[in-house]
Amino acid sequence: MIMVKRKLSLEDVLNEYLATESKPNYEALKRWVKRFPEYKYELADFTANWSKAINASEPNTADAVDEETLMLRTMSIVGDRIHAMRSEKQHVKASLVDLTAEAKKKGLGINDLAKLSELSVPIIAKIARGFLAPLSIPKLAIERLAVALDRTVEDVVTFIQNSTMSAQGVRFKSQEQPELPLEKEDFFDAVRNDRELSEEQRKFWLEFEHNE
Amino acid sequence: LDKYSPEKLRVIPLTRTNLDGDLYQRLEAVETQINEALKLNSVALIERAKISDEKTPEFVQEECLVALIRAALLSKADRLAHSLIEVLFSRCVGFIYNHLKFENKDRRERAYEEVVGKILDKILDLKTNKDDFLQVRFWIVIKRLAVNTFNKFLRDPIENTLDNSPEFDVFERGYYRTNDEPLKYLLAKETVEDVKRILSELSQRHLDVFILRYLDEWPIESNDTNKITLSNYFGVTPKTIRNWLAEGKATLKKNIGEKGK
Repeated sequence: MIMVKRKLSLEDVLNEYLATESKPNYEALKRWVKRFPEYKYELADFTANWSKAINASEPNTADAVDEETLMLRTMSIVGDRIHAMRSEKQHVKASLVDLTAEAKKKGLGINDLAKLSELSVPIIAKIARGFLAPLSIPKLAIERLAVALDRTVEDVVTFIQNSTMSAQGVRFKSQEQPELPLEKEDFFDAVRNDRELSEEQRKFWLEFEHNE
Repeated sequence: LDKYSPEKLRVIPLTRTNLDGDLYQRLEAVETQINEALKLNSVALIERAKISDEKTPEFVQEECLVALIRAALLSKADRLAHSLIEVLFSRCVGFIYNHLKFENKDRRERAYEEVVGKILDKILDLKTNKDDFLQVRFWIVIKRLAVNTFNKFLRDPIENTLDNSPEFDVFERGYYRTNDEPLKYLLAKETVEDVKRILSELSQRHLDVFILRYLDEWPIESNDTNKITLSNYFGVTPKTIRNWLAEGKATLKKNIGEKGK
């Protein structure tokens, strides 16, 4: 399995810490600090907070709000948030112009991108260079690339639609630049001819051929 | 319910990695539930999600609900997403509220709303994979958010008027050297709630240092500067920690007397 290298976030570490340890205790804290010295103080802080939360006195239940009221309030927040999400202007990021460079910014190599989208390196390279017919690429592949790159689906679609066939980044063995194909390749033909995809992956993607 | 029916929804694979660098995986049961859910129409899906008995085979786990909510939002099936979010919160509203142990009702409600907001931050952020762990261990994330929010509200000087005691030196060497066994007895027995109440009236900090020292057995100081101690955690000298402990003990002695001996 390809290891996706990235700096572990504090949130990831704390999630696993809480999932592993049944209760806050100093011995566990020492073990985790040894494993993640970069989060030494944060781990100590969380352990102390956890202990304080467990040991806090139970408040008087007579003043507690009933669950029905809490649900009404919760769903009011949910309604507002979904409405805001749909109506807010999308944060404008610089348009996606280079798939592999964008991946690199996220600390991902082309291998990682292939792994995360369950495609092969050659197919990712073909998408990156605009070698594949945009309309033939399944929506799921686009969605997976968008998630991996922390981009919107629209960003990736726009990139694919605008990408022209380019030999950029290709190493030539001969002195002359090779001729590029006249027509863009169909995604499913690329899948059929790909040597790196497993049979399971090939079968998976070919199922989209007539369902898209 | 929406122009999109569940069979048109696509649940996106998890892309976040665990501490060993492997991609997170949903539980097999959750994957099965997702596949079954995607065969239902919206109304049937919501009805199934409402089943609250965990023992029935039709029960849909919270991790599965998060995956379906995300899929619905990605397909702009907002009404379906809204209904599923309602089911999800109906299961955890009590859990969250009970973790926020504030006597003050307003404070407790504001802390509750903050936790709800943080959960929604993760679920509604469709551009990232921040919600991935919610699809793996839902209750762990909820617990972490509740613990952090509880302490944030506990620390906030505007929220907490109790934490204002001066740091005067009441260190009594002889007193400190006395055996701590009575305190351990107090903290471990039925009087523990009294101990917490008395110390929190002195200050939140006194209560915190007592709990960490006597229940969780944190050291006060260490020759090893890399070791977590009460002194470096609170950012004060070991002597100050001992002062706080001594003040706490003195207050306890005054209020509870010789009961623990």
